[in-house]
Amino acid sequence: MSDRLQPGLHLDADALNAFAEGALPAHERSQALAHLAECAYCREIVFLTQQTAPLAAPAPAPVWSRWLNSVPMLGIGIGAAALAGAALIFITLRLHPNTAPSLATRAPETMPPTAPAAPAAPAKPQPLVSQHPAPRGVAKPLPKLEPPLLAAAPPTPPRPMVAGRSFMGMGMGMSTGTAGGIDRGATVGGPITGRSMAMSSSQGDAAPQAVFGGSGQPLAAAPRPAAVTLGSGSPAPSAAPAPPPTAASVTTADALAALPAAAQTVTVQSTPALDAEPVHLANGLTMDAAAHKRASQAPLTSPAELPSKLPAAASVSSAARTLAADTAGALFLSVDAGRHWQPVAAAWPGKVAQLRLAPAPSVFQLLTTTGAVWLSPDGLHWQPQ
Amino acid sequence: MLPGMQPDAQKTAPARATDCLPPRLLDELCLLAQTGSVGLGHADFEAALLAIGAKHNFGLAPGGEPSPSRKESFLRALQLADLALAQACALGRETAWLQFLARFRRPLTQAAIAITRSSSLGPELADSLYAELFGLSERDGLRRSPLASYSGRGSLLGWLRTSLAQRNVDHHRRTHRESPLEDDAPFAAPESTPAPPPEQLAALSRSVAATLAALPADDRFLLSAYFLDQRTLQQIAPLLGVHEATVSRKLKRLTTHLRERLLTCLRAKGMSNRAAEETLGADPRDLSLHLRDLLQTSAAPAFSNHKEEDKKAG
Repeated sequence: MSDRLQPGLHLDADALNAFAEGALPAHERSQALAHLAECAYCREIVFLTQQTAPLAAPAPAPVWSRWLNSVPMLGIGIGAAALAGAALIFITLRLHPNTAPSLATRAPETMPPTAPAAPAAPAKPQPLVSQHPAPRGVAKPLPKLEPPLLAAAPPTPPRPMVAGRSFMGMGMGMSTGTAGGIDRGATVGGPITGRSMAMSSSQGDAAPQAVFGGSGQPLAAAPRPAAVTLGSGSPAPSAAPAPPPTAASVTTADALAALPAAAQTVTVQSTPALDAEPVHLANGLTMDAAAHKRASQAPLTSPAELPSKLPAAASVSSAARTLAADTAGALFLSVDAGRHWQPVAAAWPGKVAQLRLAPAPSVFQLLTTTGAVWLSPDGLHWQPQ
Repeated sequence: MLPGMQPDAQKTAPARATDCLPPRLLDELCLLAQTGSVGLGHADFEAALLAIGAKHNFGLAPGGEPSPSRKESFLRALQLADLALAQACALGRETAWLQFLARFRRPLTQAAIAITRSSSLGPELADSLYAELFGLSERDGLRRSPLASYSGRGSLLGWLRTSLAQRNVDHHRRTHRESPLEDDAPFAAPESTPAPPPEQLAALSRSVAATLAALPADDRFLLSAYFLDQRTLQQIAPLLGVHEATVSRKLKRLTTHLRERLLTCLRAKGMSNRAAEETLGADPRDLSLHLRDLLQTSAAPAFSNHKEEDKKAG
């Protein structure tokens, strides 16, 4: 350093920098310390240089470490809290393995283009109904839907809070207002799985439709609804012939996981007497408002209420009859909308893998783990296909 | 005298070693330093290395005789690439200056802004240093660049930051002569404590001076930085190369030790225990008062005074 900048007996910039960087040998370091102890000028330069060093070479990590070091035991506390949270999530997922991810985690831009643009409405958590038969509704089976799509789960009673598989559900709080595009429909919170589901109703569309997926967004890649109920009334003249069953309940994440990326459409007919305005679900699903209302008021049944005490892996409903298969592959039938269950004797080899509604004259169809397909008109008596 | 300490009027010519480096070692060092990329010849680099080694006695204490292996280890420990760049810049190599600006212009401006805490004064400070580094100033008819004094023991960026800090402190001292850098308000002893007699205060002053003089350098630096400069443990710890908690423990032990040593000294001067306690004062903050008195002033006068004295002497 130029002596012009530092007159007198002071450490020059080279020695000060080497001292600050710990590059001085022991004897020089001791001499520098002795001088610094007496020289406020050099001390000021050293400290000034030191405090500008992080700015010249930004390093974000030391900020955290300094912050953690400034509060004793804070790092340990944060680590313990993270472990406790992870343990809670793990236990919850083990207890409820078939819960579906939250719709709330879906970003508004993932809305399919078929959803009508409407001002966003605040989310209002309400009991979510998974399914219930709509006496006047007729559901048309999807021609392109894969079997898992219609594999329905039995209704689930409200649970206080279930940790989700999505990051929003992992103890980070729940949000129900991310769906967007809601004009007057309800945003329904989902106590079944501890998640939420946003629904909206469109205006001016006389033919209610349920649209799965979307042209621009692969449904399999997006968060899927925990439960979707398609209530329907009698077939409308403009709709395609809709054989029984009259109601379809779609649930389980596994079923939706098998959705193809392409858009698929389910047309749900409703009677003109009912609300003709469709309700657009946040995931691109639209249902008529009356069915939505009925579904919202329907009682819930938990898969844990199956006689086997195991959670339901799949379920399907037709009118008041509901079939549910637990995670062990056993089949159960309820004729009172899930309030009481009776086991169904397994005439098929293997275990029940999937359940779905079958075209007439059969009502129910199951797929076993061996690949066999069995049909039943009432859920109790089964015949191989 | 510390190698890095030079009086203003005393201009020592760079030490020239009579010997030269082994060719293989020089080639290797030049390769590591990438002297070719900055337009620095082997001979120039060798001269710089030997001058630096001779100035610092290759890292040995004065009087020690460095062995060839010691020389090699010292030279290998240098920041060779930075050193080559600095030497090439000092010699006016254009390619080196292009590299220098590309590498250090932005960090230097950021550091200057951080030092001055002003987005307008910072670039001004950095620009003034650039002019100085470029060698616009002449002495004895020769352009002198401060980069020639860079030894490569620390990083070049750290050296530049230190130079910026020096210039900023110098500027502050020039422009703030009327306002003291430090608050000289003394620590007041508790009002309830009666002031000791003058002879006891004189004995206390001598005891404090003797006790502080006996302290190791790092302890005195710690006391000065913590009590006089009001630096935090976080700021002091990196300079001492220890953790903040270690500095805290060391500081506590040091103040306790100082108090005991002072009491011992006062008792050795014929005071009773009670008189020694009263003289020292029950409040340990009294130690700060005495430390400030002893360590307040630097051995060297302020910059502005030096400038004036130098002008008068010149």
